[in-house]
Amino acid sequence: MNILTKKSKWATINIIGIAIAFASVLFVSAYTIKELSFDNFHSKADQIYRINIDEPGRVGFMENIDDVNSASLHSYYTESLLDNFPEVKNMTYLSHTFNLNLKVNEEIHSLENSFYTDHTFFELFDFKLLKGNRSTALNNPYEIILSKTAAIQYFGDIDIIGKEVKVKGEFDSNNGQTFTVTGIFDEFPDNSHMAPDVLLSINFEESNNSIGYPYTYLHFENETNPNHFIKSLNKYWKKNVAEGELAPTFQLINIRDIHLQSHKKDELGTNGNMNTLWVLIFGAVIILLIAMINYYNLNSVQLHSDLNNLKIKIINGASLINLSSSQLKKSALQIIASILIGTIITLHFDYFIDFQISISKHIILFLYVAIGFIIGFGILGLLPLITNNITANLSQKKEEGSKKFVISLIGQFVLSIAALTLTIVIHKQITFTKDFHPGKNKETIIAIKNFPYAAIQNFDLLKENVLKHPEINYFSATMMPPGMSGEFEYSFEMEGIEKKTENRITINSVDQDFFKLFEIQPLAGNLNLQKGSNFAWESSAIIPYEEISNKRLAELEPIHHSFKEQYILNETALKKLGFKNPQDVIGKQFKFNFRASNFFKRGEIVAVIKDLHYADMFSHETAEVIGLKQIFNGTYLAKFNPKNKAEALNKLNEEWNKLFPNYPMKYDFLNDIYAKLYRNQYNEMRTLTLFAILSILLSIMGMYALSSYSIQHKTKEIGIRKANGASSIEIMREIIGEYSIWVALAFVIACPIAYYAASDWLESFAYKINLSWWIFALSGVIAILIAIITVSWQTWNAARKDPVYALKNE
Amino acid sequence: MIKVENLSKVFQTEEVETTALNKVNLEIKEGEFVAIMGPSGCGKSTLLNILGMLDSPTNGKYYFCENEVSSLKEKQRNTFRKGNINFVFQSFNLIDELSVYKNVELPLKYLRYDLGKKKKRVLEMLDRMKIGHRRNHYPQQLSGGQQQRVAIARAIAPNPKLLLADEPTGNLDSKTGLEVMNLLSELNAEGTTIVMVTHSERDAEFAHRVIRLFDGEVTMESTKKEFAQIEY
Ligand SMILES: Nc1ncnc2c1ncn2[C@@H]1O[C@H](COP(=O)(O)OP(=O)(O)O)[C@@H](O)[C@H]1O
Ligand SMILES: [Mg+2]
Repeated sequence: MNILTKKSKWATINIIGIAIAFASVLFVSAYTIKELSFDNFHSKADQIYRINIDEPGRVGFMENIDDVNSASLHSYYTESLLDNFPEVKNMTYLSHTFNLNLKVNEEIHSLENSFYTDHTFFELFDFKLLKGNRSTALNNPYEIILSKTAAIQYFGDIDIIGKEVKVKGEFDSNNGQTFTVTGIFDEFPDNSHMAPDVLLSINFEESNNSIGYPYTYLHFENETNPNHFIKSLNKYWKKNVAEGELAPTFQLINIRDIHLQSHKKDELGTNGNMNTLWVLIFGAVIILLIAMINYYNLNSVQLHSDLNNLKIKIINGASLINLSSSQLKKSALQIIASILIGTIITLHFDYFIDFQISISKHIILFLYVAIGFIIGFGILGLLPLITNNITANLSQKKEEGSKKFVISLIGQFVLSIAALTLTIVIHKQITFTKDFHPGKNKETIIAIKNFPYAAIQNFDLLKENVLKHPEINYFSATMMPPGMSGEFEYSFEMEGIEKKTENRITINSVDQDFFKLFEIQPLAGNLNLQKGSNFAWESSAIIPYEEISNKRLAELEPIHHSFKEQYILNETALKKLGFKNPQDVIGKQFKFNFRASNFFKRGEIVAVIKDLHYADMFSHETAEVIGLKQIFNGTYLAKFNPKNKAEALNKLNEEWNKLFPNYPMKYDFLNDIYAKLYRNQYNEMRTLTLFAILSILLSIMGMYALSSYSIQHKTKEIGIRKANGASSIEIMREIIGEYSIWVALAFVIACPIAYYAASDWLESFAYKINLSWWIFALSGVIAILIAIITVSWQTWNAARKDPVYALKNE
Repeated sequence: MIKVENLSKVFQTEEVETTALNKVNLEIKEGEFVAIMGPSGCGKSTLLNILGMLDSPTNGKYYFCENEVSSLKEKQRNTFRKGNINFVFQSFNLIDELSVYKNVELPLKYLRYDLGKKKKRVLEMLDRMKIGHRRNHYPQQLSGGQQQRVAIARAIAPNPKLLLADEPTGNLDSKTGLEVMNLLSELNAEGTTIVMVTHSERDAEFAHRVIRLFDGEVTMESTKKEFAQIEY
């Protein structure tokens, strides 16, 4: 009876271990395959590349833009590619539409995920059309095709070929342009780096529209080496760049590599991340290795404790084949049970990472992994029998394998401790992100973006209406949405600083209540800001033609009281400007050299603030000078009374809809926005936590089994020691000490591995936690505690027994 | 040194109840050499184990050096045992993973001898048992007689008051057995009290006194003289 329960205990440990390994391996392979399969469903995927640009400064309406590394580039650079480079077989583009509204049956929908393109899109890509003809769908200007979902959302139907819709830009004064629906496409596959809702064709010659900054895809001739092409393209632009400007450089990226390897600011979707993939693979490999070690160890152990029976079988004529086949049968049963349990476990992994396994979709993979496990673990189960060569060596002594066990035990713990340490590091860094960004009670602050121009025009009115509600504590505005930093650098004039045009500083803009909303105290100066310029004044001042601008401003003078320009510096700007003491710049005169000379008046620096960390943690804070310009404020912020959050949101929505009935308010809570910035890191944290827990669990099971085997074989030794005067406590201490030393050794080996992995993981952050010694100590202590607990509760029974039982046990 | 009153031991296994000792009374004085004899299964080992406090009796009293120890907890028994009582077994009971030296060192370690004293004592014991040259060997590399000499070296290393030997010659050929018996009487002559279980009449002759057990009961006690007379 005892033997039976012991056997089933070991079988359970085996089954759970393999099940966890199976679940991890299946899940991670499915995920990896998906991540690696992006855009490979296009038959021409090998030859299709997107062209990226590094542009040192670009001249436009908003003055100079600093280094741009982007996935989209001005069509100017690509217009003549087809004519000048014979290796470029074909080319298509995808250009974001901005502020487009679609009018269907008098209902207005704002189009967000929509792009201009033309018939070449379907020449390069293999996306399927459900309705319409893919070779003609976008042949002519003013044709529109929609995704199935979009069609159902806007029309309630997909049988809409030939229907006409009005498409009107936000700023268009006319009635808009009529487009004809020529196709409905199925949702783009999950593994496509782009997933537009609507595609439109226009006539660039007729319309005054510029093609803008499209994503450009090139289809190369089969035999072409794209590297040669990009070299000659870069050479060409170096030669032909306009006087006094720096030449842009271009890179090509194969469309299959975009998802995992491209991280431009303007990617078409949320791209994947090689780091996350490595973390997952690392985790699954650890789990698999630990499970394999456990399985091998447990089978060896069982073989050893069964040695006498096996010998009797052999003496009575059993061959190695007989023994192997019965071992195989046993293994097969266990592995199959594990696969069943493992499958159930896998289906629940989506809780930890945003990916769902589906049996029907992954059936082939499932079979491969299952067969791999049956063969792999089957062999592993046989290995002890074969390597011990018992048939040839009947008189061999027991237990000579214990050194091997020790090594594998240490190996398991090295892996578990490394995984645990990395998990703690990631947890700590993520916790660090939470208080890093401004705003207390981020779940009561919302950011509103993507609003119509009318909302900028009517900001003052909106703010006044909104603040009538006591549930809404603050309403303010700033230039960039949370997570982003200002992108525009200007030259400036500042009292006490030599004027140099190449000295530039980033402009940011806020509304006067911004710092109150975020509860920011100044390092020096005063943040009780006066209201800045209003929209009417700004829209006149921003006109770059001085005569017109001056005239309009003069007209405004009677109704618009004059205001003082106020400037606020952040700490990085203070340092960049060469000051140490924030007090030294307060009261100094400052002015941006904006293209429209009226727009920024000379004004005082009223305050210096600590770096806000409003932008993400991946790059260092930009040196910013903050002004108050409504026209620049593309993001609104509201802070609610935490007690009436829901009510406040309702009231805000009501006020919004009163003013801008056609544009539903689009908002996100600050905590969500910041969490989303670290989406990949959160995912990594969750998966690694899972894998660390699982690997520790498996290591515990392995250690439990090994120690129970070894203690069982030690009962006699324990008896002898006691007969020689050892107390139970001393026995406990000896055995636990032995295991603790192994774990401590594992800890020593794991530390540098964990340190390396953690530093590597933290690399992507500009602001990172210190890898303090206690993180390592903590995981070491956890591991040793776990080892002690695991070993103790078996040792205690053995050590406490009357030694006479122990001595008889042989 | 040892006084036992109405000592009983009943083993309870599943359905069977075995009375291994039934109301045993005996007394052993300091410096005595006592042999316990009797057929297999009559309770000799059980008695020895209880005397050595490796096991506790079901009923009855056991006075060790005037202290009643039968109802003590394992922890307290250990304190009495430590340094006072040691054992020699038929199957030697050496720890296979430890060298000869380490085996002998074992009891001294638990008595927290300091390093120098420990080493001196171990080497002394090994020399005395004429096994010093084998000190770095492992038990499996020794003959039965050598192993038993190591076991005796270990047993006497802490200089115990009481040495309990359970068939110490049982696994040895008669010549080696004789050597071991000579060693034991030498020890006894130096003052160690010895209680020895044996099947061999020859070995029993080394003892001052023989206690005969049958079915868990003491049937006869005889001094060496009487014993000699009865036998011949
Ligand atoms: N742990 C035990 N459980 C049950 N019965 C036992 C146990 N130990 C000894 N016995 C029984 O007690 C009796 C005496 O055993 P033992 O003292 O070993 O005999 P001896 O040493 O005289 O040969 C035997 O019948 C034996 O079966
Ligand atoms: Mg016996």
